[in-house]
Amino acid sequence: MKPRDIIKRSGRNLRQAKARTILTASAIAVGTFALTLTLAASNGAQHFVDNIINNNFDPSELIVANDKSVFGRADSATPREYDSSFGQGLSSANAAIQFKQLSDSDIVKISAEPYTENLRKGITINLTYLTRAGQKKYVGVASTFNPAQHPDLSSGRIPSNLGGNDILLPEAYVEALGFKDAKDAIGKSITLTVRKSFDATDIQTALAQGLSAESIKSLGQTSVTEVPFTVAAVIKKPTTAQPGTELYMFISADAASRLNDIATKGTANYHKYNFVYVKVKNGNNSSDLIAAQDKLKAMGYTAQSTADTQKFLTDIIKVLQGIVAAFGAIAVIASVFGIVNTMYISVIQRTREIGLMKALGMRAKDVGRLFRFEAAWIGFLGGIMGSVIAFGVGTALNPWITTKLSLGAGNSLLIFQVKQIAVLIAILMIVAVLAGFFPARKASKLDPIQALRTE
Amino acid sequence: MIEVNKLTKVYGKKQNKFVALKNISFNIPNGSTVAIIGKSGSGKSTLMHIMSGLDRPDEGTVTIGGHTLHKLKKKAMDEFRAKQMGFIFQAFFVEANQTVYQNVSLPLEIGGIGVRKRDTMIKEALERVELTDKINGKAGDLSGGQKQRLAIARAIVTKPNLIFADEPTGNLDSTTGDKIIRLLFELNKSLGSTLIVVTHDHELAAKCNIIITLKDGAIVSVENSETPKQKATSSVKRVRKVKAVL
Repeated sequence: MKPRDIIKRSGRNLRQAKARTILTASAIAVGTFALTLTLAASNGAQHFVDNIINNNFDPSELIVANDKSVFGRADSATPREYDSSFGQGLSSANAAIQFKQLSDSDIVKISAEPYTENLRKGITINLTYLTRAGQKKYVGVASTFNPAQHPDLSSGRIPSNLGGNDILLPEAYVEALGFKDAKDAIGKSITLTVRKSFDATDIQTALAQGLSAESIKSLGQTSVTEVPFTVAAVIKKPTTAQPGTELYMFISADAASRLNDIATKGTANYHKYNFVYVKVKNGNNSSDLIAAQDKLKAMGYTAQSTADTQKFLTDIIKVLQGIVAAFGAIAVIASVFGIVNTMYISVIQRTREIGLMKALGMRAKDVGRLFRFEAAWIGFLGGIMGSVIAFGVGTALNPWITTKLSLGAGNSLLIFQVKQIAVLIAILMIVAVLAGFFPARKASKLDPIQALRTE
Repeated sequence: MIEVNKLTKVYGKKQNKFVALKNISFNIPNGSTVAIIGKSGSGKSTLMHIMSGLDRPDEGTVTIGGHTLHKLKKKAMDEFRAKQMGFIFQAFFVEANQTVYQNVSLPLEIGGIGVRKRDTMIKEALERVELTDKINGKAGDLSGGQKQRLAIARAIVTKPNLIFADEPTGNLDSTTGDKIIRLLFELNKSLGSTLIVVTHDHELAAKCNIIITLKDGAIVSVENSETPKQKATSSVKRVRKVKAVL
């Protein structure tokens, strides 16, 4: 018997028992539904992570720190010995932690390495406030602009070399600072204010002047430094920024150092950095990047590549998805018993038909195939049902999820890929065929004489 | 030519041993009509099953057209049955939910016949049994006589050399049964295939040119009236004789 005829006949047999077929396939559909959504969520999360990485990091750069705690890999259960160079920071659980920072000597040492093309300090400054003449004061954070960043602009442009007083202003501040629109903000001045630490010179000066009310007041005034910046561009609300950095404004590395020096002078954090970006020569070549990473590690530093960051993020996603996928797989396994049961009932009900087919010369192999194809059809039907429902539900919910999770326009949590769904359905068909193995074997081994005598 | 030589079939062992066929031998020329008669348990069905290759003898051979059936390998036996044999059963065994066309198509699909050729052969077979008008109807909607005609169409569609009919009129009223008998004999003439009927129907048996009578697994008689003349003269006598056996 030709395979095409077996396939057609098996499909016809299933159509004759529609209710039973649909119910059996529904069990598979439940598992398929969960697995399709898991795959779609996996694609969406991967896409989102890739966008974050591509829009915020240069793959030829390494992020270098002096302490693995910077990357959230601190051993929080073991006491650490005090080091006078420790800086303050927050763990991933927002607990206060101390970690060893990079100093100027570290930067000189790393810059001198043959693989270092250039080095950029990772500086983030908590502003006391930012404002504009005649406007309210707002809290804010300024950070070093990373040339690998490609923010969408509402207005203006990003100069190839960000000037000492240029600032990239988030769109959210446009209205708050009294600009008519993004275009109106371009070329206008805003003021960033940082609180200057008290240092010995200031106090000595105040003491020399005598601790009058006037000298104490002037001491308070000097503790705040206002630095004017010119808006070079207004950046749209980022859809793929690192979470929590949506309102960051960006300034040049020089300007960031200047502000940081003002804010940290006289403190333990002066000229200390949590991390630096090291651009590696031929860093796009993974072997060169890994070689540089190994050398930095040998020097006692912790170096993380873009791929490491990406892996760190995707690993977390994969664990969560693995749990959901496991539930889907359990549903599929449960449905296997449904297929076995349905197929056994089918063999019993069609004993005389099997006897007739064998009497007419149908080979036992083809009888087995007929039932295995029926099982495959059930798997196919269940797969189609589950994936179509998942696609429908996912497509309907995507806009709501995007808004709820603030993923930003152009991003979706659920991304369906036809190829993946096709592979999933193919796997389900194989699972169904395996489930139908024993009933098909029973059918193929039936004695035609006994089968024809069955009432 | 069908040569049945010293067939013996035993079921069970020791105390449960039952001899279904004892040393059965006879020959059937091609194109004959053969009735196998006998009371229930006489071994008729066992003989038919062995002659059709569905069962194996413990001793003896069945040779059809030079092929000794039980020396054929399983695959060759299935192919032989698909191409050389047709089957008609008392209970029709038609697929009620499938169309008349699909029912007749089954042996052709099993024989691996291509779609176009299949279509022509199905229409031709249905024409022979006068079911063309029901071609797309559900088999379950047919009357008993129509179902048996459908079963006959399914049996002759591959143009087999040998047709086995197991009590073909057993589930039909006498008028419909007569029509079916007439149809079977007409087809035997027009197709030239050998018709072997296992039956209790003495009218049907008397119409066959060979009557093999079995009792307790052994042949009681093989009655042969090869020519139409012989058949006509002995017809009444034969019916009486068959009635006596059954």
